[in-house]
Amino acid sequence: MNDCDRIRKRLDRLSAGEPAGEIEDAMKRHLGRCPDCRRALDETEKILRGAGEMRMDIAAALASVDWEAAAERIADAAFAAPAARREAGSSLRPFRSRLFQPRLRPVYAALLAGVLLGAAGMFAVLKSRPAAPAVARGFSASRDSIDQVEYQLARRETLDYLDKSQLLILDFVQAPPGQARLLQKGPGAQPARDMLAKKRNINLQLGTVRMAKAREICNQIEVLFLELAAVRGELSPADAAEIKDYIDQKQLLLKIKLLKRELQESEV
Amino acid sequence: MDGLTAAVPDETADLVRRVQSGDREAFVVLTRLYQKKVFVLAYSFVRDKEDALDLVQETFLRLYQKIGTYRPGRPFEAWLRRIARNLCIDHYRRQILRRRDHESGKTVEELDLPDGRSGEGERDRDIKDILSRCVDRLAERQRAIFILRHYDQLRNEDIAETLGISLGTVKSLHFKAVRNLRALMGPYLGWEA
Repeated sequence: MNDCDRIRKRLDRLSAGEPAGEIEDAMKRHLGRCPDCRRALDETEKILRGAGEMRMDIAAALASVDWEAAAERIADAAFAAPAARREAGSSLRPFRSRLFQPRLRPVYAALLAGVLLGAAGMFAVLKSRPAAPAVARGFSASRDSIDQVEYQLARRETLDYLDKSQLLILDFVQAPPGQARLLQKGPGAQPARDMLAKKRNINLQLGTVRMAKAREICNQIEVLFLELAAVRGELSPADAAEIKDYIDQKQLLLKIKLLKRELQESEV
Repeated sequence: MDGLTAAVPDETADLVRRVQSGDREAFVVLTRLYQKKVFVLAYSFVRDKEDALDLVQETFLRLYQKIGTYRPGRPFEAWLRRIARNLCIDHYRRQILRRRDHESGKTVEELDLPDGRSGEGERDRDIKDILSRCVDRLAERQRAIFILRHYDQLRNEDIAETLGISLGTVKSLHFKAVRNLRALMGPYLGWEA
């Protein structure tokens, strides 16, 4: 077993949640000259250290709460809310009945007619005014129109990502075992890696609030491609079943279809 | 029961039935059983105790409003978790909008923008934030195992018993979770792919 293998084994033990033991001198020397192993070990240890710190934060926060009282408070709020709503509804009722009594109807009709006449007059005045000549000196655009352009670009990129993902996932689900394009031999699971690279490119565009739903679904697809990109050699039937289970559980194909429709309908 | 380990499904089903018929006491017991789990999820999202407690309350209020739509036989915890998660995401979006509004009045010099010169310490502080978001993006079983192992500090053997799977599967799923976390966190922390 060479030094890289030893480090990978330690990494496997750490990643499997087992104590990995002390690093021997020989391994330390290897880490000093092998950047790949050093990076892999460093990243894994950082993740596990971050999780450990998070655990301590959570434990401290958990210990500082009176959970018995919290449950009672939540129950009070839950059971008081419908009663409060009923009460609010009943206190509004007399006011509503006074507001909509039949003898006030002519007053409301006159008000409505006034508003409509005013709107028609305003429309006529604005329509007869000649349009201001466009003065175009240099490039200028409002924040709204720039947002709109950015959204349209994000929408198109996302649609393209969804199209390709849909084809690859459908092929994976329907192809006979071992023949799916996603798992082609050669340079690893290349289609899955390509999709991961594509996702990295659209991450920035998915960062807006308007694209939040698309981001959620694209993230779920990304997890699937991460799993597939990590496949070395033949995919075992158990792993294939687990991945198909993930696709079913997350309803990925249905979500892609609905999201595509939504994005296509929002085309300007 | 400490509120972090799984409740007996029959006990939960009975409590849900009683809550559906308006039993306040059953609602309190159900809340006691699951509030810490919801807190762990909310806290790992918002990293603030008061905000996490608000989210716990919102989750159980929403649960009470929607309890009529819960179909017996569906996994209750997954249903509750989905409600909590959606509320956490809404909270996160509101935070982003608030931050954007707050920052829109500042000059470029006043903004706390990353300049690529942030040191190791800076990145280490970010790790917990990024870790919580990325853990949430893991597949269901990988996420459950990572949280049980690291946040709830269960041993692999106990996790296997809790989830009804073999020890080997626990190790393999934990291994995949860490590997996927490395890939998901890499772009945020400048780790090479």
